[in-house]
Amino acid sequence: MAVSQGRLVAIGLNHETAPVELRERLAMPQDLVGPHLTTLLEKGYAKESVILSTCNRVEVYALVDEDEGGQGIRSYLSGNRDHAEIISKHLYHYEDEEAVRHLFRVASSLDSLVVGEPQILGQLKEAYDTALSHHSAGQVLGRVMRRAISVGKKVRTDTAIGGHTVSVGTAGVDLAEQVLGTLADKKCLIFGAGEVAELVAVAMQSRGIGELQVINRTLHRAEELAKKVAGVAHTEEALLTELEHVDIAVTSTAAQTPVLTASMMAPVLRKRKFRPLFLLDLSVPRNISEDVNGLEGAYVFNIDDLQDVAQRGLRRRSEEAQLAEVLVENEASKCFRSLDSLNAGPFIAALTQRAEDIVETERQRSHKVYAELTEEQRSGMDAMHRAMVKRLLHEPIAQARKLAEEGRMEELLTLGETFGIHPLPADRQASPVPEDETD
Amino acid sequence: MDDLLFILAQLNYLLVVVAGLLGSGNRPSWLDRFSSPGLFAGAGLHAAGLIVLSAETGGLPVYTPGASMATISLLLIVGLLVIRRVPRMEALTPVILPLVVVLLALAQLLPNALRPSPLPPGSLSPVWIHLHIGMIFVGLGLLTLSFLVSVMYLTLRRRLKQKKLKGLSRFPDLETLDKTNTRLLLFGFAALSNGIALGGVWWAANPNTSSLDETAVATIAAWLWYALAIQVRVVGGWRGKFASLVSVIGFSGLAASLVFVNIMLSGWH
Repeated sequence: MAVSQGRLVAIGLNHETAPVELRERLAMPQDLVGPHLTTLLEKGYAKESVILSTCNRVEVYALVDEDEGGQGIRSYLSGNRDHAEIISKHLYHYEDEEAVRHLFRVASSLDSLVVGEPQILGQLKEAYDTALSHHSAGQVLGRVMRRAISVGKKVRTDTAIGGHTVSVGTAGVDLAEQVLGTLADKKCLIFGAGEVAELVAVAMQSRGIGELQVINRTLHRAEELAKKVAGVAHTEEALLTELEHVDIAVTSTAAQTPVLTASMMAPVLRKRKFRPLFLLDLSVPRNISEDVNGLEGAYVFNIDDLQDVAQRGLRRRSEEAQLAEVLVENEASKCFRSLDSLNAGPFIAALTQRAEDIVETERQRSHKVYAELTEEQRSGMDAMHRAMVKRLLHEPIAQARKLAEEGRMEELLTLGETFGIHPLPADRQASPVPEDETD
Repeated sequence: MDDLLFILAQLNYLLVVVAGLLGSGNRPSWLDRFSSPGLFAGAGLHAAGLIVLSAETGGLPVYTPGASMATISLLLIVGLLVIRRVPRMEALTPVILPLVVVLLALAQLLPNALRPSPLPPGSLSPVWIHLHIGMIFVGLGLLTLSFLVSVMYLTLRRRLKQKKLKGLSRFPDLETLDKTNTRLLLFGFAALSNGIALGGVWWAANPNTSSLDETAVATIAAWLWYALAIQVRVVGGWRGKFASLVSVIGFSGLAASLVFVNIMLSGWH
């Protein structure tokens, strides 16, 4: 155990451990992630936490008490819901270095439904930003998250894992092409105007789809997306009418209940004279109710059904993924070891503060002594003081980090005493120490 | 001699089927390159067998059930060679070839199946009756292909409904199957209509025939059913399961009645 402040855990479920029916029970709309983070802190389940909720996974990364070990988070995720026992069985639970490795694999898209897909990195950044804005990401998670994002970028840059880009959206487009043939003479309707909807629309456009239509609850967002992909925007009221004419319909909205049901679709399909309608539901919770697939002429596929298509992408990228796995393994191990250097944080903070206090005192004194100096000359002298202190502190700070990483805490205390400072316990909030994790 | 040629043709067809069934990663490279030449070689041997049979019997190989099966199976091969030119429709190969092999085997195994029948007497030139038979056979061949395409459509539909996406790439897409089926139905129906019309002209001009026999009745009944199928698919614009089922039911009824009438009962009319 290398994190002196507690235990680092990753608890959640994903497309490999739980079917979509369970994932949609746990899925958290973006606007509810913040309140959940606050609750986790208030109930004492976590000292720090970040929640990553996407179509394919719901995960809590947290710093917890070593004795408690994340049991509170497990019960929070599975408790107070129907089928709590079933959900609990599908949860995975990684600790310390394994948790870091899992996060890095997620960030590198090695754990994605379609390996190498680019969306996850943006989703992870968003999750971290949400945690920062709710003051739930502190020193430990802050460092791990920033490093994860950096590793995710590095994997994409240094390997060709994203070379054959097959996101969940494009996997759906592949499937549509396989089922319906060439897309050049097909009409596609996109219901939703979010990130996934846009990716699908772009993928459709790049495959030469004949006609694109965009429908969204907010017309102006539909118009924005339609403009980007040379499509036509409609209001939500036109949904069923347009479904009579299109060949492919993709749904990706945040609706919590199905927006297309069998009773709505049956008359549409009759009017189509049972001409095949390919329905791709990329939402969690699902936008298209399960019974629609039972109707003649409707072929409904959700993100779980893309597993097969995704596997082909996985095979194509397996070599690159192996390289990425090695990179992730090294980085995870390095990052986890480096968490110990956070123990040097209080020392570094105190040393820096002391140096700044001295600089400030001397600055005020010199301004009085050399009152005849111009403003420009004073600024120059201040800059010189700061530069001297920075250079003087560089070596002891580096030494403190090294001692902390190697667990030589006695020597760290001695070093502190040399400078006349006594390190304080680590603060939960993000470190003031300049970070170099992100690119 | 014709038996030997038919057996060699069957062997070629079976090799093509085996080459198709082995995964592209598993089959030896020579087998990989064999499919198209094997199919053409089989068709050549098959056609040569029919020519030898015609020469031996002194007439077209259509006057007995066995000869008819050998002829219709060659028409299926010709149809397959044409259909394979449509992208992804080569998937029909392992469906059609086993049927052809079975038909050829039946043509040889049925007792006295390849004996010639004398040309029925009539007042019109034999060209009329040859055109009549040719058109009917082409129609039956195309409708057989339509039946097989419908079966493939229904199989693919079932797999998609059950979300079985593994091996999906071996199938043509739904639209290609649907369009191919419509064309086969239209051309098959047109050939069958012409065949029936030519037979009607011959029948009207022949003083010795007094009434329609079982084969003619079965063929006309099938024509009426297929007229309905065209109405449903082309005029009504229906697609999917129901439109395919109409083809499957029509062909099943036609095949059953022709087999029953021509093999179990009196024979060719």
